[in-house]
Amino acid sequence: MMKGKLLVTLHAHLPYINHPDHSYFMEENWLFEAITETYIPLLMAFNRLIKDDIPFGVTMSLTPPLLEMLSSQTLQNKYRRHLISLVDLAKKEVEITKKEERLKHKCALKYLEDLQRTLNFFESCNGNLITEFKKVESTGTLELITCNATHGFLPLMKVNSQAVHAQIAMGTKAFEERVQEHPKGMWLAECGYYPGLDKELADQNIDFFFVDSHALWYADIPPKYDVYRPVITPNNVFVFARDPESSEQVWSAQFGYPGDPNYREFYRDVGFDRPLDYIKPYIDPAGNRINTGIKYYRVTGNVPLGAKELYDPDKALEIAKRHAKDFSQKKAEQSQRLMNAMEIEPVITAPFDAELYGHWWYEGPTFLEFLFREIANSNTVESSTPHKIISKMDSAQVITPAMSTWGANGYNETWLNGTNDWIYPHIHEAETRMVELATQYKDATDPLYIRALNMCARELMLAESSDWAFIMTTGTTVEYAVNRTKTHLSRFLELYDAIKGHNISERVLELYEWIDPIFPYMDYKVYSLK
Amino acid sequence: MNGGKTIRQLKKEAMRLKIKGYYNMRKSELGEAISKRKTELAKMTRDIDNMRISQLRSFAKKVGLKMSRRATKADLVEAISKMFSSWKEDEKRIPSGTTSSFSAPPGKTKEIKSEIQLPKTYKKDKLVGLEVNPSWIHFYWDFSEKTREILKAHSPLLLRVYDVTYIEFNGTNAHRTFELELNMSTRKYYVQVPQPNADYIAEIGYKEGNKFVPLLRSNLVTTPPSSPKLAQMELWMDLRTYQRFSEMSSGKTLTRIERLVGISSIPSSPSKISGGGSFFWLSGRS
Repeated sequence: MMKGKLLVTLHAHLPYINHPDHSYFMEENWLFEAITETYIPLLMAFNRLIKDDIPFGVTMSLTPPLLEMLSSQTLQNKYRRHLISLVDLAKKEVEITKKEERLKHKCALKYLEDLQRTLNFFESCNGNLITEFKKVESTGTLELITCNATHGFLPLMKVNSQAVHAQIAMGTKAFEERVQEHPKGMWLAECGYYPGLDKELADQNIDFFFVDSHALWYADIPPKYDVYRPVITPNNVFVFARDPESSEQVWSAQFGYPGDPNYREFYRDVGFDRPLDYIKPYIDPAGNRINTGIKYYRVTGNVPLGAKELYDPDKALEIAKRHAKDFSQKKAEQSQRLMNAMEIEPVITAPFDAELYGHWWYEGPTFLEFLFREIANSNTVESSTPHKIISKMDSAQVITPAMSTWGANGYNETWLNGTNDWIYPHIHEAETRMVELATQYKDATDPLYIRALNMCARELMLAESSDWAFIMTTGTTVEYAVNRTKTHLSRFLELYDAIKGHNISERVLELYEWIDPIFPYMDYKVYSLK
Repeated sequence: MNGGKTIRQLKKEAMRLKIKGYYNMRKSELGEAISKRKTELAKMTRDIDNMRISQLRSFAKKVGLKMSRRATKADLVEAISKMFSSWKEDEKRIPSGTTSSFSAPPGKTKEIKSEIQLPKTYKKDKLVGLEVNPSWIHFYWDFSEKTREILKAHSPLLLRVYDVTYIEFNGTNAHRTFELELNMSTRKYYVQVPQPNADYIAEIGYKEGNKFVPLLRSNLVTTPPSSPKLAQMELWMDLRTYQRFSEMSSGKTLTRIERLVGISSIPSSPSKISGGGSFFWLSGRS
């Protein structure tokens, strides 16, 4: 019997933020929040599904910067410290909310329980979340894929084809090093694709990647089945294109689930609501208030933050279940409709930023768990993964997808506009110089030169992260993104001059190796021209 | 001066304070505007005890205080004063000299180099085109010392954009040629081009009499397509034999219903082609 396939794809990514030279660095909290609110809750949800024998399929891209951060002993230790302090805060909250509203106290008790459970989870796997993801993968439910090295935005890098090659090759290598397996698929940063990129992917034995819908709609030949069947590129790489209906149902600001008035409000946090002397030990030591993750209010409606009403976790859970049921029904109806028209099993690709589940949409991981439970009972649709789908296909339409991204308006505007265009002359120049160095020194044997060349490659790749340009566009923490871009570029230029001038300072090199320790297995020759 | 508030919180505050154009402001601008507005309003409160009740009412409205119509003069004075003292608390919470949530712990510099200067020029001849979307291309350029000297002697600088779709460009055979005069100090520009899915090349040069003298040529820029193509044949691959085969296109079999976006009338707006080298989109991952 035919069944539609739902391909839930979670893109787990954060820019590489690791400042071993600081005991506290505010932006490192992005990782900590994502671990507490997204990664561990997802792992727990997957484990519950496995325990209950619920068949499900889900794809996750763990990007190399994320893999590197999750593997870092320094960050693991900082996270442990962070989480222990949160548990401490939750205990205090339990005490003081005894005298406050009943719902607040109920929430506080739940936070304490959840945070203690999170801490136990983290300790029981010795801080090694990658292994936990691998364990889930070994059950055949989760498929892990990689991303290009530092989430560099490839459409604006293609003027330097060797730099693109390096991003794809290092993205593959990083996954092999950290996950200890060859990645079958690759998430292209921001779904940025342009014709010809498939050759690089094929060269790294990548079997599939994802694009936005219009990559197929505006392709060289119209897709026979719209976005509802994978196609294959001229270089034999499979392509899965985003289903616009699924995205809108989940994320539309106007009609999407996360805006439900009963869900937790992101912007009311005890980090801002409690008196400063009380909350001080749990925020930025400089005294800046930050989100702690302990939040007592719900979305309520379109009202000022001060007028938000209290959050009831039980009520929110009910709503999440109802939304999961609704989404599952919509996917079943959509599958039936598509099957009638296509006479072949439709594939519905639903990609999302993983961090939106849990971090932004607090109830998101619960929604996903219930979605998989619901779908397991459906006769018309089932959740699946790319490799399972590919292995059952007899034929595929050969298509060259069009240049496209999943950014606003579908092209490059988010990463190239008046707020961030200044970065490209510098990044492109650094790429040109990196290729020049790597080609000139491709047979280098002096360990100091090899270290300096590898460090150049690291600084360049860190500067290439699409996150910096994205942050400049969105307008929050711009200063940090500008500083990171400039810091990595200037370190690159400094090392370039040192190599060319034959005066490499080992002390400086050591410092940079310590403060930017991404990809210890970097091999600069990935930039060498043959 | 925003005390680690999120941009959303700042926008709400700016809205409450009726700051004009707050919606398009960036975080740092919002912080500044809010602080400036509060100072202005604080000055006005000096006279609060001498104000008439109608003045107090309009003042309360101005600062976003919602007061009952039955509120007495004393109520109004109290509410306004209370609000201002809460602002002062706000200001006190923030360590001085920080303009955003990215700030240094006391006695420590957070970034290793806070004001990093990247080179203003790499002294290389370079003209690079990057597609922004189906109808805009971004160009940036740099000059060697030699080229800079030549251009200085032949001002103004000219940027030419050629439509070279399906053409092996030889400098004179473009379908269409567009030209723009630029200032010597301009180093980047956004240009609007007529066609999606078309190939463009740019040159920078100067005029000698009626003759254009090119000095730099860009890479080929292909604008992304923005509409479906027609094809009578489809190409397929048999995944067991890896043989490719062609098939007549069956025409469209799937109907997808998309949300229709519209408004009842088009507001008049100034032309978008105002140039100037920077335009701003409010955007994000969709």
